[in-house]
Amino acid sequence: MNDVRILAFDSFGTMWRLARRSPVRVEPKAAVRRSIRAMTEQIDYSLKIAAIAQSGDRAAFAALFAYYAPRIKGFFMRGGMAPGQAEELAQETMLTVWRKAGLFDAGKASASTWIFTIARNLRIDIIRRERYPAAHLMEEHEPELEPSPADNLLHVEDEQRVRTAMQSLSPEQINVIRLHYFDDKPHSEIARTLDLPLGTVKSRLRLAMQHLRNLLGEE
Amino acid sequence: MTHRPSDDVLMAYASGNLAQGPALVVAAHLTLCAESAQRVRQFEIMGGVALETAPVVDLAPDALESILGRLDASSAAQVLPRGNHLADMPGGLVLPSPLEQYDIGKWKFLAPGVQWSSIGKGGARRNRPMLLRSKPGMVLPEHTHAGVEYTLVLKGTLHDSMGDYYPGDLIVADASLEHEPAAGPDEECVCLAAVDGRLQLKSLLGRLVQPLLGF
Repeated sequence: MNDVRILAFDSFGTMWRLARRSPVRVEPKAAVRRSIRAMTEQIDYSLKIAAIAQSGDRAAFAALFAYYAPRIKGFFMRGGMAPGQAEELAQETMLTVWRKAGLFDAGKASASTWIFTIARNLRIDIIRRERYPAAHLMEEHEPELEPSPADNLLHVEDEQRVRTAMQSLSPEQINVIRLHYFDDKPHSEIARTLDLPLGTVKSRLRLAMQHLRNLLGEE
Repeated sequence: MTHRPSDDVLMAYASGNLAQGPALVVAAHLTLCAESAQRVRQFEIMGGVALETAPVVDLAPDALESILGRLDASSAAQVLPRGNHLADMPGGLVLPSPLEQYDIGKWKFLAPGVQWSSIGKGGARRNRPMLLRSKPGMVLPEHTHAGVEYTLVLKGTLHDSMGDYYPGDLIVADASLEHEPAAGPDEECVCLAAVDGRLQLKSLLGRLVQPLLGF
């Protein structure tokens, strides 16, 4: 367990160094500042998950619950789930956070990313009564498959790049990506919600994804 | 690797909105393609941010207390049992890890020189993923006449009018594309394939519902 802790701290240190490094690209400074603040908070929540894994720390769990549970419930409801089921599934998500805290690897994902994947998988399990084949952040990993320091660096760079990119997209672009993918709304419903012609919704989504691709880097 | 799924497909996978069969094919592709895996990681980070910025809806006042009471009873993470794999794999092919938990049926005749094997039991039958095994040079028949086909090369090569595909390559093909890939001449070919039924549903219902909903 100490190894986990050391690995976590090592990766947090990297996150800090990267986050503080002055921006060399074209992102606005305010966007970078906001993404640094978000990543600093994430370090704190990651440490709380590590504390649950290490010593079954209930105070750490209560703190995670206070921040994440109401957001998970809101996230499910925004995706169209009834309040009662959203409440139940938010609790189930937090229970899974407690149970699987030992599988959390701060070198692979931030607290929010990890908890998002738990919530996502549980939602699909309920809706489809099938297990979503997406468990790479949940798996027990073999010692020889431990990420190298370079892999950890990759995760932290991704985290900063994505957060800064999301600050750089316009609110309209972020909104349409969120509605379509994360809230699973069809184009037609987005058009009704935003009171826009269908064609505008489709082209805005396409341009938003293109913009995002440019910000994240074409491969 | 040249044949990768679009960002749209990877985003649908990361946000949990890809149908089960295609999601399994994409999950298998991710174990073979570092670029796609990184993209999905990035999109999952977006999911984390979407969670952070979701509306805050309070839970019942006693929610934390009741969940704290359940913590002791909760067991450690369970390890999923491995599926029962009846189909033998040629040339020592090791299937990608996302397939481990699924039952895989015996090889069955599909067309001359081509066999198929079903994967898993859940979901609608036509959307269930399958393995295809083709002798060198044989043509893989279309999996369906509607919907979007996801085909991942696991062993050998595939060739069609659009290009050449190697292990790890994922072909996402609209059935209207008339694509009938053939296995390369030198080696047996094994693919993982699935059809997205959701899109087919849209196209079937579409004609009726389109005037109302607009898709």
